[in-house]
Amino acid sequence: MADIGYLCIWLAIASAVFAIAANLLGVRRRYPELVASGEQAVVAAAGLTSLAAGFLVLLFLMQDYQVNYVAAHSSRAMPLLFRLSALWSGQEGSLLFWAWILSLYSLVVVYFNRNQHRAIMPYTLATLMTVLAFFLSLVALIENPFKMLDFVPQDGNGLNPLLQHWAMAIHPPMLYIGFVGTTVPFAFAMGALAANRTGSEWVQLARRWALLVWTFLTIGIMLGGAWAYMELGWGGYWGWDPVENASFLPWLAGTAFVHSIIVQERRGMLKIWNFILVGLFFGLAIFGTFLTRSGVVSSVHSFAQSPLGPYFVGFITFIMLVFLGLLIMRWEELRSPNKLESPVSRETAFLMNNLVLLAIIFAVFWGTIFPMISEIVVGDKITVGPPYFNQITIPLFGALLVLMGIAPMTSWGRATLSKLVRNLALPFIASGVITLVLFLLGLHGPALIAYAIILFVLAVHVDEFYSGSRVYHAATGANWPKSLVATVRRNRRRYGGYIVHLGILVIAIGVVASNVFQLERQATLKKGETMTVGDFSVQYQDMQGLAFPDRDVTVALVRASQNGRDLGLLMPSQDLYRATNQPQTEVAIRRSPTEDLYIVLGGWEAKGDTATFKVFVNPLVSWVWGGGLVVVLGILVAAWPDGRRRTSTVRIPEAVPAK
Amino acid sequence: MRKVSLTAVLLLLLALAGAAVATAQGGLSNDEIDRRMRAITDRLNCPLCQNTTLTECPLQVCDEMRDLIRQKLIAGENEDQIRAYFVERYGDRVLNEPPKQGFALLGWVMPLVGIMVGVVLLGLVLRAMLHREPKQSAPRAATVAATSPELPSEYVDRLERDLRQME
Amino acid sequence: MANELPLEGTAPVTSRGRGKLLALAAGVILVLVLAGISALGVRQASTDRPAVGSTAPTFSMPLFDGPQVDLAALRGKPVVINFWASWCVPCEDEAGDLERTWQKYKDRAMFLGVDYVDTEPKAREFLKRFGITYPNGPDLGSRISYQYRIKGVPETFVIDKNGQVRLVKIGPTTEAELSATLDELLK
Repeated sequence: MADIGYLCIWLAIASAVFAIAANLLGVRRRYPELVASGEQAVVAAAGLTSLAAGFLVLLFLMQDYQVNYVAAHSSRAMPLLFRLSALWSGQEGSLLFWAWILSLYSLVVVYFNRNQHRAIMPYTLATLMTVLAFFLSLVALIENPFKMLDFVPQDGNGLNPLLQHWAMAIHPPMLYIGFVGTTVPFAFAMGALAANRTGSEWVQLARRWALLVWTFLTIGIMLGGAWAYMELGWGGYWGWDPVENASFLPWLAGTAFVHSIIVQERRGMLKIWNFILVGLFFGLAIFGTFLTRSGVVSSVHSFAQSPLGPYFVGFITFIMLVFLGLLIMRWEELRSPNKLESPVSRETAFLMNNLVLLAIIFAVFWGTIFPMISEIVVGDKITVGPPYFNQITIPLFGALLVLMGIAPMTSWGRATLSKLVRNLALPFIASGVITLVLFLLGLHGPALIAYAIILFVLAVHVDEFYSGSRVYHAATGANWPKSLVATVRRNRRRYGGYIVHLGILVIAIGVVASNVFQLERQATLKKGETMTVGDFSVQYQDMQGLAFPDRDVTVALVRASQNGRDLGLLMPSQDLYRATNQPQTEVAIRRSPTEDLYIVLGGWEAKGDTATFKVFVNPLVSWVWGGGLVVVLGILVAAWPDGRRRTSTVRIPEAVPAK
Repeated sequence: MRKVSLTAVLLLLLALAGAAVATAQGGLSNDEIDRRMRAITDRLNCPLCQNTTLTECPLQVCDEMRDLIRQKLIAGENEDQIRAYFVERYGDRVLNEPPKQGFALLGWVMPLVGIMVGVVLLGLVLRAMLHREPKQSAPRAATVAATSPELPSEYVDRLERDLRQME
Repeated sequence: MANELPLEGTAPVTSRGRGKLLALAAGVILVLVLAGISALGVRQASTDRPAVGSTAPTFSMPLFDGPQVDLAALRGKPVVINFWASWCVPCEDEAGDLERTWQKYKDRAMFLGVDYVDTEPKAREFLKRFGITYPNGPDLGSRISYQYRIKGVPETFVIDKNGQVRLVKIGPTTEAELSATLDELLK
């Protein structure tokens, strides 16, 4: 069966290569039949890649340990879920998984555009298939997951215990779906450039796909944070690790793109810039894939050393140069009458937003690759850790938030400063008053500044929802909740966007609180002894050992209380996996909307007579996850298809001059 | 009498020992040492792991390093000396941010340069865009404000913005 | 749009052509620079420990007890370089073997213990516990272990009198293995 899987990969490569040739030849020589067969080849490639991935999954389910990859990443004792997620836990399988998702994306692209965008589509599909063929070739030639061993081992090595967690079962697929998905808007951009259809057509296509992909990236990053929080036991969820940065960079580029594209839709401006951003979106995603897989940067999460590096460098260089070439070829057509009527317009606000996002991208990118550069130039490996990223990006994030507050109050085209000031006055005063109250309550320092900004942005958004509803309320006399719903409905894209902003604000509130006000204590307790952290008391009661088929678990029983109120029994534990003899802490978390009590069992002596605990009180961490949900909700509001055709496709790209 | 003198000697010895301990600790209380330790270990990385501070690292060697830091603090060394010792022993990688000197300074400077270049470029672009020849007004220039002057201006702004932003 | 046409006379066109060229140059340079850095990074990352037959990187190191030792100055004698640490359990297994071999060959060969990521008190304790008498010193700045690209401890390199690597041993070595190699080199 492994042989058939391997064969499928080669057949999929052949289909992809045929699809590239047929699509390009068909469109250049005007043979619609050839283009049609090229599209079918895309379907075939997707089918064959799925088959290959399916075979690998089947091998995991059948526990065929003669297959090297199966033996290296699973074992008999593993539950079904983790046997499935083992598919993407190693280099070979995750590359195949990458290719598989891309092939499915291509299938969806073919399906939805079977009767439209005929000029762009052949080039778009050729781009998608080029990327697919590249990844499949890596799988076939260098990292073959179907490689057989000469012998049949009794049992496999099992999965890294760190990865045996539900969030780890869904975080990588989400992130991969986001990463791989960046190829689609990029492919539409390539299609638009190659077909010389650089008008609003590709913008519509790319925008919708970019939003979808951005959402997956958001969910993926959130789940990664949730996993780190629950599994790594250091009390935080974001450590600026190269692999985390690699997922954050395309997210930032995507954020810049979905904002900047609005300027083009409304005003027909920034055409070239939007192509560059979409290139960055894809380029950073694939560069991130390269960084984490070639071993050039060391990370907690990176895959083992592998010979993939040179191929990635070659491929990224090739595809980026082609993209640049096409962009330059269409330069004249893309030149748009970029005319600003006023320096305080919405356009300017978006441009500044782009500037700040790009600055963050550059800083994070530089910090991520700097250890590599330093090693090349001076032969000294250095560490670029969280203090660096925090110092450099926090002011930039602050600026971004401020812009997020100002931008909604600016108008397109000709706006005046005095009008902007008038619009901002009320939110500014309202948030100022609350900030003052916070100050009087004893909040100061950086946290006060952060909350002042957040409150200001929040006030602006509340004002937006309020005044929008008021227009409706005044016009129809409907009650307030109804007016609010109707307002959101009437312009879902805009208010959906604002809901996303609200989600980001909720996340920001949580991030600031959990970093600034985190409490932490470590203590060694005898049975019956109590330690206090903030409002919480933690009493060590007992220790128990449990034996599972694959691991021994040592559980500490801890009774927690808050201000004397009993919170029940918490059970931080340590797993010892027999296959790897690797200990793994399982954090006990008592969550609440205001703060998490987070207990790590650090160690124990004399069979549990004494045990060492690390206890954190993490304020408002739940807000981070809650904010993530709000972001997704906002996207759903903004992008849920509503049956009727949107009118925006026929918008005149010319400006609508204001009075 | 003899017994008493023995006790006195013992007491004296004890006092001396106590004083010795106190001076050995550099007069620092345990809490103060803990606080300084934490400040140091938070800014140093485990040389064997990635992105793990010395505060968190569970490895045995990191335990020993923490002991060493404690001893050095008790011996009266300050944070800079201890950091310098760690860099000398284990290399720059133990610092969890690049040192602000030598080649590593480039790590700090480049983002600032990048931001400044970005600001200048954006400034130039904005200026060019502002001074471009104004376009002819499209027919849609007729705005709500022009047609309904009796509405309060705030309301009109709102409506205009809504209209323009509608799909 | 129509009113923009007259503008496309002389000056704007050249400035546009220049903008395009500038963008092209900037884009290509950016892509190529990144590609270059990445390629060098890949080469760096795939640099492996010195192979048998290659020239051993030279270094000088301070000793726990004694002066600086310079590898280059030891030419003419075979040198055994052993990377170890006090926290490393397999290093305990080989410590006795290393010392016994040293006793046997100390007139004809040089042994150097390089103490990798360790604390000095523990390292001295380790040397005392196993009665190790050949020169040992800390790996300052982890530079030597970086030059030899060790992946962990213990790792042992045997270098012949011309400075060529003749044995690379990953994991604990034994008296038999070292003796065989040294005998070969001393023939």
